[in-house]
Amino acid sequence: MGLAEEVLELEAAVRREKACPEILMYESDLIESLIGQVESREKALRIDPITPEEQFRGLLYQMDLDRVKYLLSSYLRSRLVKIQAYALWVVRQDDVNFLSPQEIDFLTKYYSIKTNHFKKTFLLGLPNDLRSLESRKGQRVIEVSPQLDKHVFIKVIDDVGRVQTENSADIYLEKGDIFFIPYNLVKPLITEERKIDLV
Amino acid sequence: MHAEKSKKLVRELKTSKWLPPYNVALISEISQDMASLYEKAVSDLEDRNTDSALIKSSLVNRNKRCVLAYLNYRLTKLECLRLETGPNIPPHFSNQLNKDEMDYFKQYSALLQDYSRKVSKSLDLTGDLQPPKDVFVEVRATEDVGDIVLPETGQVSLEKNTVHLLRRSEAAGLIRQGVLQHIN
Repeated sequence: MGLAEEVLELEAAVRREKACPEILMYESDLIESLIGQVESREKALRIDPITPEEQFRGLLYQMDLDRVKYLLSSYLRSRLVKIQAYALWVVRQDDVNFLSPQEIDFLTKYYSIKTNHFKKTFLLGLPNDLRSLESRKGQRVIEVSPQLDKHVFIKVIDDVGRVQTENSADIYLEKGDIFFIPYNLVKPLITEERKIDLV
Repeated sequence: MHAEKSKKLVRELKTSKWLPPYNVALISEISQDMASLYEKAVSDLEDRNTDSALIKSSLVNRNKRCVLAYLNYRLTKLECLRLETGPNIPPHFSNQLNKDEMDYFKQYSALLQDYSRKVSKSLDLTGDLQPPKDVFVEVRATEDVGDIVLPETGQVSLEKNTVHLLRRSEAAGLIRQGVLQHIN
């Protein structure tokens, strides 16, 4: 895949990540390859231009690089925002393979500074039995988990056919259709089969 | 009645534009109430008065939830502030925070920088919040800063109301600190 296609891929990934209520699989190959290319091109740009043409070309390249960097950071940022919002829930999951190693690292540290803050400001002033963040049923007191039945806008990129909805009315998804439906109804079609895109 | 104070605490969040001043007095009052309620619940249990104990323990839990929600909401606001204005808290915001929250802000800020560096040295996660339009931006200085040296442009003397053409990457931080104003 060339750089141009990868950037398009990244744009789609940013859009998906922003529209999706849960944290999607980290696009490790794509992100790593793009970061590598951005870094090497930036290095190449740092060599001082000699002629005005080279200077001009350098500026154009810089502009394009800045755009790719913006996309990259907004992809990573929108994931971080979700990781923070669901932090108390994510740390309890057994399987966190949807996060990158750096994100897992971020999450662990984030969780510890956050719970520390709760302890310092409030929980340590309580009787011993009340200090835990967990209530009796094993659920965290202020845990927020992704709201999977949230409605999302979808665009069908490949014919899917019949999909059963909760009130047992069927809908037909054909290429090019745009729907507003609960996320968990079409989740596998988005994450695994890639027949539907979030818009 | 017993949860009235926590209700007030949570309501405070709604009444202010950004965050209300940290209400340390109310939180410690609630903690004391919780402790005494808890004691009563335990003694109720010893008297085998389970109904009353149940009510008291759910009151305790409700109070706890409210206070934690209050604290959590404030932290979330702080995280947004970090993303939007950079690693320094503007003075009119810092008045509303208590010392622990300032500490949290610093820790969070360091954590974010650390993550950003680990992913890539050439990315700044909090740099571009809007898609970039041009390599250069025209900016006007809003206060006297004096001479500063920027990595690409070289030396610039930022005096009040002077207009400069700077690299966007260099100006972004200063714009968010409020030193420069974006004018095109």
